[in-house]
Amino acid sequence: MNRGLIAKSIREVWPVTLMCGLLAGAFEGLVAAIFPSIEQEMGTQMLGMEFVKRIVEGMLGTRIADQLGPEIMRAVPWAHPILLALVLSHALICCTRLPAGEVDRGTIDVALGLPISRWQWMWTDTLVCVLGSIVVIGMALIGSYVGAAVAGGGRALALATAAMIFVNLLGLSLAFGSAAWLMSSLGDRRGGVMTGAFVLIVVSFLASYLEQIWGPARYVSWLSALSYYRPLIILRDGWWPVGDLGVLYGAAALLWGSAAVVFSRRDLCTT
Amino acid sequence: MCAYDGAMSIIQTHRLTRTYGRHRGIEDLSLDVPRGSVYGFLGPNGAGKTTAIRVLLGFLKPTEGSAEVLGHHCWRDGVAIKRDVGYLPGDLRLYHWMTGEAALRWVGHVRGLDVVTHGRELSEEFGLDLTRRVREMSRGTRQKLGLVLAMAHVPGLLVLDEPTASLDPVMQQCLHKRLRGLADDGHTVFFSSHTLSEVDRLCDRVAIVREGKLVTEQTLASLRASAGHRVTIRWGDEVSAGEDPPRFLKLIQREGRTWAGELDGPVDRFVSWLSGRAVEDLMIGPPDLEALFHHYYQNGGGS
Repeated sequence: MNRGLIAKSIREVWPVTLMCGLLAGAFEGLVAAIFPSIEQEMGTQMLGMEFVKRIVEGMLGTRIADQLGPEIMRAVPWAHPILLALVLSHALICCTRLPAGEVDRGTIDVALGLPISRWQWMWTDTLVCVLGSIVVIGMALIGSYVGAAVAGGGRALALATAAMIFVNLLGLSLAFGSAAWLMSSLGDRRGGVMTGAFVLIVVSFLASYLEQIWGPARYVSWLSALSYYRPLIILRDGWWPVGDLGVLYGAAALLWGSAAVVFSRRDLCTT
Repeated sequence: MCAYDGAMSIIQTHRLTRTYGRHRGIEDLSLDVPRGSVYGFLGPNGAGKTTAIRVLLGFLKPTEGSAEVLGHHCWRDGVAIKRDVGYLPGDLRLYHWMTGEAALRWVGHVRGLDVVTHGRELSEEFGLDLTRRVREMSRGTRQKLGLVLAMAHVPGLLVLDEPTASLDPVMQQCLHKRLRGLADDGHTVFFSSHTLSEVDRLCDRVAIVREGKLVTEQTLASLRASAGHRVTIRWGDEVSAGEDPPRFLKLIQREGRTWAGELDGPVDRFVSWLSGRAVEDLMIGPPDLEALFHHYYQNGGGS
């Protein structure tokens, strides 16, 4: 790790981390505060309608079937597109900075003119990105606890459950972040790389969503990282989703390693 | 002790080649940059100067050939090379949110050295305000900051890609003085340039590249010696004016009794040839380096 590189990366990442973290915290807090008042109505009436049930199933990434219970409504905020958009946008912004962002803005020549190895740079930026993701998801959890405290009634997540959701969501963020990093290592234009990563997220979301409402989609949905983030299962069973975590963290490690190898070997300069 | 300590060559390349797919970058480039010299790397736009610098600093991988900088392999040992190299890119772009002072501290932290003290001295010398943010700086001011960042750790080798582009004449002079001083202290300066007058004033040795290939590499003194003197003769009679010129005088203009041309070879041979002929007026100018450079740029040194 290099002190100068860490300071630079933090300086570049903290505004977006703070913004995404505050928004995620505010969203989770708001939902936790107002959900108890509509939960009863949602559970008994809305989920009784087949199409609403399908939409919620798509969002939660699992069949609800006859498992209707309070945990379904408590899982919704953790699988909600707003939270996912904030967490994944953060990952996308952070993980496309190097090298595509540096090449695109023309600063790569100055940075590479300094005595830093590319691996050192990669490790440093990875540390900052992972810490940033931890902060964003952590702020979402804090928001959820604050909202639950405001609503009262002892509805806050158990610490063990919160830890499981946290680790699962972090795995999802790292998997998409690493995919974006690999694209960034292969590209020179950050706009193009971000577009590609965004398309990947949308396709993953669609595959995971369609699986619940359209049978044939199950043949490809296993490729979607979102299929391995299932807060409902965590809330319902209270067990660590070891298999899902293995897939997400394994994919993240593989993609990150590939990104690092490409970055360390490719030609790099301002174009 | 570094591998290059005591060695005479700071940069050595052997048939260094870098291509971009089917496009040419540099081809069979063999250079030898002596320690303590100011080495000019010249060539027209697109000749491959920047590509060569990027290969030397490990940004680009050589396609063929080899290059050693400060005794280290250019691609494998990039970090070791850059510890003792200061680099100014041709198209300098810095982090726009940094102030000059922050950029200096950042470079110091990355290098693990205190570069702020010397950086401030250089900034004062260059008339640079370190409190301003990069985004507020003009192009020339950013160039000054780039030079300060490249020189603040007093590197053994300074690699500058067109350093005087966008600098005013006063600053150019100031930089020349500083570069000359560095070379006199045993540091090596390798720079690419288009400005022939600065090459003439500053360089000990030059290499000229054209279409990716090395056209010539020699000391400036020998280049000067090979440059033709401009001569103008006004003959005293029609007989002499009507003669054929000798082989060592290339006539550019012949108008009545006046000849204007360029000498190929020493002046004394020309003076001997003139003796006994009726010369009314004679003018011999200094070696015309600019014409020689243009000749190399356009014809690659061939006739």
